Amino acid sequence: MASPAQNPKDFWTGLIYVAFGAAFIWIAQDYGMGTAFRMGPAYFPTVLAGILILIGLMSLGRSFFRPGAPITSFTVKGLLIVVLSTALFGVIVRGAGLAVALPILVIVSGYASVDFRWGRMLALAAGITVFCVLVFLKGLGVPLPVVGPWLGGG
Amino acid sequence: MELLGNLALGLGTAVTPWNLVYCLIGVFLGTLIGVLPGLGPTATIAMLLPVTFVLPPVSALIMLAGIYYGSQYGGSTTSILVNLPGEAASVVTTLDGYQMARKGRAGAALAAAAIGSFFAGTVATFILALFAPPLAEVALKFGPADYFSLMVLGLVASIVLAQGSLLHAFGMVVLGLLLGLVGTDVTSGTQRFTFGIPQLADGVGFVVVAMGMFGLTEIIRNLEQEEHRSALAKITSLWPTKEDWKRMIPSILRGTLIGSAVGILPGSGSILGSFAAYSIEKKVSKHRAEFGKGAIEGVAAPESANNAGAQTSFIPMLTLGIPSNPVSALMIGAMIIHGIQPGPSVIRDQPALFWGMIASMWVGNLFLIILNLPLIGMWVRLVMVPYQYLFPAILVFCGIGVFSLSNSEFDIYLMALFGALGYLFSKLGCEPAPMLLAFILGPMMEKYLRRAMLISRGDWTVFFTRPISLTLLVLAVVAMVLVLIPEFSKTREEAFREEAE
Amino acid sequence: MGKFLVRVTLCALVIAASAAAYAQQYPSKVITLVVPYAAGGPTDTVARLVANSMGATLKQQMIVENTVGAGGTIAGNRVAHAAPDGYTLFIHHVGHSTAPALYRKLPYDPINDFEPIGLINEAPMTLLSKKDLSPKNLKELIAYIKANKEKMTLANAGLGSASHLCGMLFMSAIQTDVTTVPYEGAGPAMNDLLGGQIDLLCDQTTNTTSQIKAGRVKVYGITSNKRVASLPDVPTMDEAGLKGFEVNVWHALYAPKGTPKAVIDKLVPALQAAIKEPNVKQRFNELGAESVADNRATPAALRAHLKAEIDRWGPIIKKAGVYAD
Repeated sequence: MASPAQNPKDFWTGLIYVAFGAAFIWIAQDYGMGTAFRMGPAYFPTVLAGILILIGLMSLGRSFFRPGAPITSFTVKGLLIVVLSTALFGVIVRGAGLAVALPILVIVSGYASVDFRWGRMLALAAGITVFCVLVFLKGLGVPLPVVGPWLGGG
Repeated sequence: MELLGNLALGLGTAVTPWNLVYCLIGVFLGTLIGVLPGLGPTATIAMLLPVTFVLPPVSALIMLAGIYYGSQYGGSTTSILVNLPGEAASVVTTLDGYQMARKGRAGAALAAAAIGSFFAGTVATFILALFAPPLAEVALKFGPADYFSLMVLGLVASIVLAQGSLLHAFGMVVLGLLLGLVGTDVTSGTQRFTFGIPQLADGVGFVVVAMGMFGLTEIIRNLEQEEHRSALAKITSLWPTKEDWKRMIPSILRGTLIGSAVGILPGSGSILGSFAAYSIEKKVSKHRAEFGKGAIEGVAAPESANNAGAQTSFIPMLTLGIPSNPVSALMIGAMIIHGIQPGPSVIRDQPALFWGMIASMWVGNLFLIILNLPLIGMWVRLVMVPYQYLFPAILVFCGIGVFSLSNSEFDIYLMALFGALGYLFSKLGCEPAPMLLAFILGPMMEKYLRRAMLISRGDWTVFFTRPISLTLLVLAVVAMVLVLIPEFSKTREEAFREEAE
Repeated sequence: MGKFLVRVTLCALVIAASAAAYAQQYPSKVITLVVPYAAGGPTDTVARLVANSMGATLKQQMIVENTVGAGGTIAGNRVAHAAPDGYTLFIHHVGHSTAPALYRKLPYDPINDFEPIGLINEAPMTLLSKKDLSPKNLKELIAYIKANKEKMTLANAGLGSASHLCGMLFMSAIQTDVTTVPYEGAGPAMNDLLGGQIDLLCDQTTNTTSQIKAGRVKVYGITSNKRVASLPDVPTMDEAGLKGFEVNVWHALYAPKGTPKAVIDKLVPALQAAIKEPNVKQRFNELGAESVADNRATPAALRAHLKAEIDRWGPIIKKAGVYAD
């Protein structure tokens, strides 16, 4: 990520802090502020968000004067694969069941690896699935189907 | 002499064959759920509570206590091996424990955690036996204003955890406090920052954030430099070296002391203990530069503090009948079910139960170390599995683990989101550990603040007129100055170099 | 037309017959008793004791399911919309009657979505102060509160909790408002009372008896209409000078609306047998509660009691202006 400042880390962090702070203050406006004696639900978050904005502004300001290292080796591929495969697991786990969702998660995420080999990944997926079914479903009683209703299971 | 008699009575109760079995089951189950992500001790104890109704009360409590400290211990194992803190108190252990594992010293880190925990557990058992009633009185002296100031001190000290920019660490703390407030406000019933999503009404789970910002983030970070990662350092030895021992013994002692002291305070005790122990180590250690890069003190101290605090956190429950955390609340429930009225009278009316439980804690710690030392070899081999096979497995455990918290897919999405956020922050040099502490303390801090202001009728000076609160705030200022001095005296070149690392 | 009538009549007969047959078989499978609070809490304890005994009477296992959250309304909603076949039952305390006032968006109706089965027990509450508060009895305390109302603090165990209700009722009875300090549960509230951080607390005997006996708090009265065996020296609030002040944490058993009468008719005697069982009675006493008389463990008595409680709490809560959502 390039930035107009001398210190990109300070710049982007400052921006994120200000954005979060502003969002919290904006949303908190719907809640009662109260007084210092009887603080409403908005009091503490508003004060905190104000502090966060202040910190963000300091970081932003500092970024123009104090040089810093650039942001390196940001992996969009790794980020997307991990986040999306996890989310996909969430979408299908109840409907398709663990016997399908787990191998998909293993193989899709494993795809992020430079050294992806089908044979080994399938073996890994099978092993993990058996282990998880035994430990989480049978052992701990997590209410998930092995084969979900989408595939005719119960 | 009375103490010896009492301990003898306790041991007599704790080492009956059946109670030993229940203690063993407890610590074993505890270790297991501690190692598996997701289900924490609170959920497990809640699930097992009905089972314990058929047991004699002492056995039931021994087993439940075993689950609790077993899980505290198990949580540190995954923190060290795969950077997954399953328990709030083991967040700190990831900082140096995981780095040690990456350098091939997982064995030493696990051993340090086990030995530190056992030592701390033993000391804390004696503290419990000797001083439980007077310590409970001390804890009662803490009013809402004092708790608020204690948390301010804790948060200031947590800034020390961070490696990089202090300003960013401050920001992460404030952001953590804010994220902790998501959910229903207990005082007014207002749903805050929930966007109308019912799953957010009870707030964001700690495990969800921890798995996302530690587990998932670490995976993404490793993927960007996979070639380096697969060249994992060879395991040097399973055991701590002579040098390690020399370094960790004072840390264990300090950690035990701090953990025991802070542990008696309800609510925040065992969490603040491990953070405080780490911060102090980092300040007093001769090897300051190694912290965050695999210093054994950074594992030994917080692990000792964590275990000592877990033990002393039972003091308010045993002596006053007041729960100091969700686990002891459930245990009080177990006592009530068995017709025992928890409260100050338990020591008098149920000496066998009281001392039996205390003695069983020591026995349980013994079991833990016997169970876990031989396992170190197995755990270490697990880390040697090539990363391309390890990380899908970690991802799977995170996914199912998080789902099992409240049987909701929503938590999985949230974890993925925090994973992305954590990665973004890690690239910007903002570390998650202070944020996570603040995330836990946020709602508590607000509660104490509001309560303190209600009691003082809106008078802010309450924080300076109460001696305990004033002392804590002065300490916070001192800590802040200690943190800031090196930052100011740092030259531009030094600052630049540090960030480039 | 005639044919139609015959069909309708036939249908009705078949339904009635099968319902009767159904009731005769009832219970033919495991009955689930939904508890709106966590395992180990006072309500859970009551539920398990009752479930055990009723299960034995009905010769069918009765299991307890803890559905926790949102002040018991999640469990309430679950049972309100469960199949009305007698296999899903609901136990709740006084909170069932305060939910409509506390929750503006309550997704069910506490009266019309349930078939009442009967009251179970009642536990009184105690009015406590920190140990070093000067008043010696309730009359002195009330005078003291009126003189120092600017400085007094009254704790409660959280929005809609029994201690919250008792505190609101007390303030409205003495017509003096003091600063209310909410806590997250009875434990932390008691902690601060023991430490002298707050002045007053009204809570169930379940939570307070051991502290009272240990002399760590001062007690001014018990909120039942007669003294209780576990605290014989504690006067009732009425005796101590606050005429007619009575609050009880009462537990009751419900089924979803539309549960066949024949099923209810089997459950009522089982409940009555349960609360008379010596073991159950004794455990209730240890919790500071007492089984209700047979004539109150009936659908009619519960329906009337529930309605009276809703009518009683509604205005007090509205006046205090508190909501839980």
